Amino acid sequence: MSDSQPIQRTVRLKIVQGLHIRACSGVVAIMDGFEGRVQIHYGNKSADASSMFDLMLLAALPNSELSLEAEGEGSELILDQIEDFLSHPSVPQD
Amino acid sequence: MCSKLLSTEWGPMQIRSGIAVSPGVAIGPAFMLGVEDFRIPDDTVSVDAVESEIIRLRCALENVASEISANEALASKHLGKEYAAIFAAHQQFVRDPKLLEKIESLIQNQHQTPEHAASQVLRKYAKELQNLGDKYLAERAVDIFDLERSLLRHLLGEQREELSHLKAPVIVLAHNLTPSETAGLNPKFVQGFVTEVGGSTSHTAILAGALEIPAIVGVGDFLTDISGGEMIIIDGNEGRLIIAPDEETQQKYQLVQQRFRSEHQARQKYGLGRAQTLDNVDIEVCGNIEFPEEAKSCKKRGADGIGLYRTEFLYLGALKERTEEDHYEAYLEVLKRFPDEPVTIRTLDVGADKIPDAMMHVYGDKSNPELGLRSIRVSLEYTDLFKTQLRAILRAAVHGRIRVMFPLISSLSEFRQAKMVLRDVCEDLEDQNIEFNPDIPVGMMVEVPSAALMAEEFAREVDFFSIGTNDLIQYTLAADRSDPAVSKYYNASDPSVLFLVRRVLRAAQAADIPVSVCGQMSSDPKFLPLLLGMGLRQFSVTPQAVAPIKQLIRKVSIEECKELAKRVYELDLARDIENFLRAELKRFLPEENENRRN
Repeated sequence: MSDSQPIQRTVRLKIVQGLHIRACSGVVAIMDGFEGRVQIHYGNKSADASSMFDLMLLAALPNSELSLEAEGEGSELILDQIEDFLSHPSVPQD
Repeated sequence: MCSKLLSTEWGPMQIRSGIAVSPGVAIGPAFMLGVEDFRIPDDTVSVDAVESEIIRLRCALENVASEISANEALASKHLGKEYAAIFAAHQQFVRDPKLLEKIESLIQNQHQTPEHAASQVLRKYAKELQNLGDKYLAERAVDIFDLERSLLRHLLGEQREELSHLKAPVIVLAHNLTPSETAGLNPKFVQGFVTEVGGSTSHTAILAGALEIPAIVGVGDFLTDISGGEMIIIDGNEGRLIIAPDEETQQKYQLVQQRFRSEHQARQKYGLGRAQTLDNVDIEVCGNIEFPEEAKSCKKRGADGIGLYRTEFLYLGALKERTEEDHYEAYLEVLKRFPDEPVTIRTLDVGADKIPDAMMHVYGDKSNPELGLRSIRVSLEYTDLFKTQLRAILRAAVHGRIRVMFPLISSLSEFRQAKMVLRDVCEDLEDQNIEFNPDIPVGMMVEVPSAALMAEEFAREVDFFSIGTNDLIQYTLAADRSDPAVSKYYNASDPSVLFLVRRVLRAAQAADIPVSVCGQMSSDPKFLPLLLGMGLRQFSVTPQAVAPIKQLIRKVSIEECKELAKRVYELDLARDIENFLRAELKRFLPEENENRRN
């Protein structure tokens, strides 16, 4: 039930290059298949986590603080994944 | 109302400046050249077509996505996953739900075409990326432009319109236009053009004058701010480009346009009749042409003859070699308008920025074409080509007062060599019993500093001189005339250039041979009193300049021009000379300034 309420989390962006194209691409890939909505706030800007354009335009710098907000089925899980992804220095190469 | 819509649709009005190369005002929709020649239709879609247009958009996006997938697979196979990751990111751009939402909203709510809507949204994104202040992200704008191109290619498909198929009036915007592209512009639809690069005496600029459409070159980067279809104003008098003008600006320029047209018409009467100075010295004002059809407008404007016929334009845009008959017919067409007046035909001046498609093989990728194989050097290297043209000139000379002139002569031996080819051609014609005129005057362009320095020696061998200031300036000051990066070094007022011009005028006077100036300098009113003072009596100017130059001649006396020239000789800085000449011109044409101020 708690999934229907938006949940929030704060994450420090550890990816060395910040939210550059590869990092944005990684976030969008995580979002793939998720039915709900995730917003990422940085400073006074916000981005839809499934939009490459939105994420790039955040231009979030390394070591900055991002606040994540998710709603919909499986919100906790998706935020876990995004948090994990953003907290590692390099974008994993699979 | 309309302008309000415009300014929200296209963003705020922007004003950019460049080099004004052809006067007048043009107002119309932007037509972008260079994005693979895409013509983005600027019309709207009807309400019942919205659904099908959205389907068309989605299909195109789908096609772009599969194209990227194919590239991703290839990259992954040949370059490794590291590189393939970029394509995955591109894929995500195409599939971005926000992108689709924004484009669809423009189609649905503003009834824009998918091409237009997509281009606008993507360009806006690209611009935002560029403005983030992050160098890496700014560079990603290139990826967005790439995406735009792919999407447009899929959307337009067969509908892609070429420049030559224009059906409505537009303003052409391009990074650069080659002279042959410029020559191909249809003035019926192309109301004006603006390029990012180019200088005031580049051949593209000269052609703009010939087409009589307002044009600006050397504006610098501006194309990325435009998606096509925006309202554009070109102020070819002041060198201003206005993108998405507000209502007030549009109204202002409509008035400027009307006034320019009526002044232009009123001015035509000044072209008629010979021009004499206040102290009754007769001055010849001929016209420069690129195409035979222009002879008609020269005649109408009152030109006393053709002082420079740039025949290479016969070749530009032509895919195959021109025959002797092609040349002959073109020359006869000019003679039809000027049967009793002098017509000076300059032999082929190809190379540098004027390379006909048919001759591309002659030129490799030369890094310094202005100093390379161009002009008379090409004619002497490829004598068959040269002879074909000379035969046509000699034959046409039977029907009028034709003079032949060799361009870019840099040494006496070169001139003698060219004359020898001419004699060979005369002999051939005689052997073949073909009618020709063996007594035509043979002259040369003085446009290389070496020729100006040797003017006295040349004057003994040539029948006339024509000073080509455009090239003379670029070679004297070592500043490429079509490179905006060095345009500040390219200066007609430089004392070194004026020194060489004066030297040639004196040599011609001493040898008693005719001399004219056919470069841009002679069409520029501020130089007229100086050139008269230096002793010039023959001008050859762009057709539009015939009337204003004649008008000015009638307002000056040779005596005061001589005084003016003396004062110029005392100045040693180009800037001082230019300022002085400008101020003097105001003195001669007070009413012009009055009009300008209004």
